[in-house]
Amino acid sequence: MEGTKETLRAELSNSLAEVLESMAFMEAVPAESPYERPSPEHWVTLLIHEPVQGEFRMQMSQQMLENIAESIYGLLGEGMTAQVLDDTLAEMINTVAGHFLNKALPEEQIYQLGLPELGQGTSPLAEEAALVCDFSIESKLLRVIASGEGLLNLGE
Amino acid sequence: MKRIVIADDSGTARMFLRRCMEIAGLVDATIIEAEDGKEALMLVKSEPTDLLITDLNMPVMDGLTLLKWVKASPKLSELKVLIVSSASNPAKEAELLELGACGVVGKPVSPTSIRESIAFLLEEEGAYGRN
Repeated sequence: MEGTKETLRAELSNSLAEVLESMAFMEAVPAESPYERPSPEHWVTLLIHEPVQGEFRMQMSQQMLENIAESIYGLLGEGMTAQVLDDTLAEMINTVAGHFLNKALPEEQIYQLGLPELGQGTSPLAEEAALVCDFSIESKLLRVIASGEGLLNLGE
Repeated sequence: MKRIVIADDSGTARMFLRRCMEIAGLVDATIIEAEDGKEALMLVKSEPTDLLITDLNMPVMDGLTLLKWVKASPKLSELKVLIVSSASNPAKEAELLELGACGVVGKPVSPTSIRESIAFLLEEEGAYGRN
């Protein structure tokens, strides 16, 4: 199981790094220190419906989300609305999940994702069967959690 | 002037697509935005449209259902539908093209990927090389 988790961790790290680089020209590397919940914190969850069932979750500080949105859309000041931040987070988790599943599933396998659910503050608790990955982007931390046995077994 | 409908539940993604099309050289177009597939379907039914660009994952009516509705309608079946999505792979792309999509662009989109996908519109408009 540990080998499976490490494979998944590597695939998830690769997906996040590639997506952030292509979307925002930012470099994401595995964090050296654990994620500490910032305030305010933004989170997003995304269910995977088919062919396996699972969930991705992403958590980060408002400051980091603003930095990413600014880098992607070139927006500053008044342009940085709550809607832009929500859209950025939703777009990121969709793209990371799609990238990850494209790598983890056979080419001929069609998958179905749910719709992102966004929030601020305390995010829902992760299931016990979860893979927690912390990343550092320009010295700020971001957490990605993959949960659900079907999803976690993809690394086998 | 071309008429283009963009369907995406993310207002920021719609704004970004609009900007990508401008950078790609599509300057003489009316771009209308829809928040979901149902709204987009009403918009393309209401007036002749040159291109429908749609995300796949949307509330109310998703992009796949929208594509099926368009292609099943005798009045709309010739409408070009470009899919923009993060949830696509070769199998999904083949399914979408089989259903009648004119192209599939993976997210994150860029002015370059959009330019390639809307080349037919740019050629008709003679807009290449303006930017």
